Amino acid sequence: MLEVSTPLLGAHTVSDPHIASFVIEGGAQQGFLQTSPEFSMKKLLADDSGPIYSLGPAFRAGEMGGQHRPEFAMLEWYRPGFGLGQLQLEVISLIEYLGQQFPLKFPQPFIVSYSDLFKQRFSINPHSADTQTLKSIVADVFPDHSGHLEGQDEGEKDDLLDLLFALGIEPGLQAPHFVTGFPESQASLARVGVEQGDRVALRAELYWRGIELANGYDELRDANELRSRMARDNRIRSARGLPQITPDEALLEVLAKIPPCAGIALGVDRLLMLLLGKQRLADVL
Amino acid sequence: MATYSTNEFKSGLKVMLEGDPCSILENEFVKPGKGQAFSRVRLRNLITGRVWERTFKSGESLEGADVMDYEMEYVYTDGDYWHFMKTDGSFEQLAADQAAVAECKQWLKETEKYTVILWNENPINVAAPNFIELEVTETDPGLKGDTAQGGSKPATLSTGAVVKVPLFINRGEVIRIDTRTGEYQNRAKS
Repeated sequence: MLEVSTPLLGAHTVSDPHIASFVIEGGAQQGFLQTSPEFSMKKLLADDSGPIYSLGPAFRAGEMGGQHRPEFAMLEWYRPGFGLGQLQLEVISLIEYLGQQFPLKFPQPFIVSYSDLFKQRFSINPHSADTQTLKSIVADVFPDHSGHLEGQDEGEKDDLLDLLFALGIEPGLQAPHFVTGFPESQASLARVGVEQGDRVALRAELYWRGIELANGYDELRDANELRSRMARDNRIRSARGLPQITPDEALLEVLAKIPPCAGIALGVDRLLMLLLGKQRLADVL
Repeated sequence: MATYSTNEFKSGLKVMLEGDPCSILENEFVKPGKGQAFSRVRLRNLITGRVWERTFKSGESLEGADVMDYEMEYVYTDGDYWHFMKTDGSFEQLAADQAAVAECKQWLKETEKYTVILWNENPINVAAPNFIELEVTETDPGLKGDTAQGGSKPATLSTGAVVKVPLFINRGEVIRIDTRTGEYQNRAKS
């Protein structure tokens, strides 16, 4: 696998409504500190790079807390010809290998679907439940948290799912778990497939001790689909008074040339924190 | 009054929530994957003293609460209100009601200084100093020589508070009390 080094300052950035980029102003020029090397790496993949990895800083504006930093180390890699399952096995071997240097062992992860987690915890199918149902669950299960989630736009259902996931499900993922089959509306740059009759994002997220460690996709290669997702993101951004994001036309142009592949990004600081048995990033940085 | 966004929430910030002034105790940033970020906030309701836990979407804001802490001297009670005087040289007096003094009523001593929380210029809470010296007004006679052994007896203090004291303490002595636990500490040196 080839190591690649990608620009930290880019002319474009991601459109996800919940990811804010640092904007760098330089006279007549403007750039964004990259929230991940994803766009640059996909352009390399489209240019026949073969399997590649990048280890470097990523930036997210406004993220600060025990497990969040506005700058963090990200290990991201892409495997042409791999499906998500193969990539998950590779992540496990990598962490097991790194774990040899640490006293804490990384147990074999469970694999569980987003949908099953919601069925077990809240007795609903998150893919088919409507916002009204989700609101009443929030009000029932987390009465102290229900008063501040107004906002009726296309993103409302995802915000409710995120609340239930963050408060009701994440804390329970103490043993390592790969969560798969996210809602289609949370596909970001992942392909969509059908699981148990529901259209789901082919995404896999690794959790350990209640903390998200890695996020992988079966990579989307359909430019029209990506364009329509970006337009939806911008509609939500507009409804919430967030800045509009101009699509990266150079990426859209080459998206179809990317070979079928799976890619994943792993938070290196968080992994170090967990392997050292620490609770907060501040303890390891 | 200013409003504060979740990213400005920090311990000690006073904000309005559901009509009551609250003090933020803790603010934890939570964000699932690429999803919506939340602030999980613990706040103390300054009126009831209860601790609330609330989750806000990142970027939401709350109105600031016009809450100030003042050091004030207890002056007297007229039966309905308890009167305190500012120690900043203004000699300004304010009246606190039963609810505001409820927690520290049994530790109110004239000329002693208390922390009074004012909300919109009204006292909503009065906190006693951690330690206070009070005179024993009533207790069984002391037992000579019994200075080291355990064993305690009730004693009524000048404020009306009843605390447990060692057997050797006599009526008329001044003792030091921890107001947070109501426990006897030692004889006051005087």
